[in-house]
This record gives sequence, structure tokens and C-alpha cells, in this order.
Amino acid sequence: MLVLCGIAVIVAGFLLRYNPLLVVAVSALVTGLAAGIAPLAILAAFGKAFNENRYVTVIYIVLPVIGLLERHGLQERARLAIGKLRGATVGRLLIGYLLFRQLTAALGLTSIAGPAQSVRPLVAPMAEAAAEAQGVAPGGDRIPAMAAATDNIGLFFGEDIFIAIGSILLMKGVLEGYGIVIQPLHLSMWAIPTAIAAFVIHGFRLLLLDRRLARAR
Amino acid sequence: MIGSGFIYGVAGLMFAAFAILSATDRANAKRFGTAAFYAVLAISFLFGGKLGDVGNGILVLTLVAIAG
Repeated sequence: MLVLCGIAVIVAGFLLRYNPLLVVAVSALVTGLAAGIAPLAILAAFGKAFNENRYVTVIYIVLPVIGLLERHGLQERARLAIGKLRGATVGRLLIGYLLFRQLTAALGLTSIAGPAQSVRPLVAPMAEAAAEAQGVAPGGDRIPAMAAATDNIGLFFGEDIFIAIGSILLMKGVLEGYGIVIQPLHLSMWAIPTAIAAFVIHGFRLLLLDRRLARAR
Repeated sequence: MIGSGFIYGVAGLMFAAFAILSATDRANAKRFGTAAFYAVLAISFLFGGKLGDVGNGILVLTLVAIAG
């Protein structure tokens, strides 16, 4: 029972807005002590887990690449490209991106785009440039947020069409637990109407966004 | 073959470079804290396998002390 003290430490620490790293470390220490583990053994357990999970930090090796691309004007390039396209609106641009994201995700290419790889360096600046041409004042979070949301919707309602993906296996497993046996191919086939519906609904929202911007002008 | 040892080595050298560049960045008011943080990460990636569990534990506590 006393072992659960750590959870209270986590809740209190986050409520008081201490640094998360500090909160988690103190919570683990409290839990270990409450369980009657020697301080040195706790320290060793800490070190072992940290060392074995270093790989989660390896993703940082892409940071210099993105930084370098942005330093050399990737965002500005993206803006310029859109500025030159006549008739480019936020809505049309994002509908195109939505289609691209759904189609590639349906082929299993889920990692070629995403908030870090494509939205921040490319899609969001393009959408902002289009919005500025439509008379939106520069700055603000609404347009980049819409770009990120479109990416997420495209991925979510595209990936299930691809059969070899974690979510299909998860659904199959959960349904099987309730005694419903379904072939994975069946699940991925019925993801197609859902994907089409998602495209129509979100596409309609994007067109509404264009209309709102035109009216606000 | 590129193994995880090689990747960890590259990441370690990169964090070491971050540490050195941060330490000489006069525009950053907390530059020595930033540099120390990246230096600890670099040590973890370069020598983590040889430090032993308690050594790594001390490394984590240092990281917490710097960040918290």
C-alpha cells in the first residue's frame, strides 16, 4: 500500500509544475524506499534502466538535419512556391495534402510525413503563405494547427487500409478477446469506406475554412 | 553493417559537439547548464556500456540535478 506513495508524488509534482524529470526521479525514489529497497540498489536500477533505454534519445540525431534545412531557407522556399501558384488557397492545399497522406498511408508509408518531418518544415509554412494571400494576418496558431490536424486525420484514416500495421493487429486481437474472429484483410477492406468518409468530411471542413476566410476579408 | 554501437557513437559525438558549441554560445545566459546537460548525455552515449549500473545511476542523478 505504501508503495503507491510514488503516484501521489507524481500527481503533486505535476500539479505544482515542477520539472517532470525531477518529479519522476523523486517518485521512483519514494517508491523504491517505500518498498524497502536499499538506496544504492535504487540508484543501480535507475542507471540500468536509463542505459538500456538510451535508444529513445537516438532520434535526436535528425535535429541537425532539420536545423540545417531550415537555416538554408526550407520554410521560405515552401512559402515562395505557394506564393507563385495562382488560385492556391489554404483549403485546396490542405485537401491535396490530405489525399496524399491518406493514399501513401494506405500503401504503408506512414513515416514519410508527420508533424516533425513534413508539417513544420513544409506544409505549415505553405498553408500560412496561402492564408496570407487570402488576407489572413501573419502569425497566429490557427492555420499551422489546421495543417497538423489534416496530417493526423490523413494518417489515421489511411493507415488501416494497409494490412500490415499495428492498429489492424490490435483490433483483431481485441475483437478476438470478445469472441469475434475477423480476418485482417476484412478489417482493412472496410477501412476504405471510412477513409472516403473522412476525406469527404474533412475536405468539406477545409472548404468551409476557405469560405470563412473569404467572408472575413 | 551499421549496428547500435555505431549509432550510439555518432549520437554521443553529436551531443558532445552540442555541449562544446553551447559552452561557447555567449548569447545563451544559461550556457554552462545547457553545455553540462549535453555533456552528460554524450558521456551516457559514448561510455554508458562501461560505467556499470551505479555509475549510470549517478549519471541520471546529475542529469536530474541539471534539468530540475
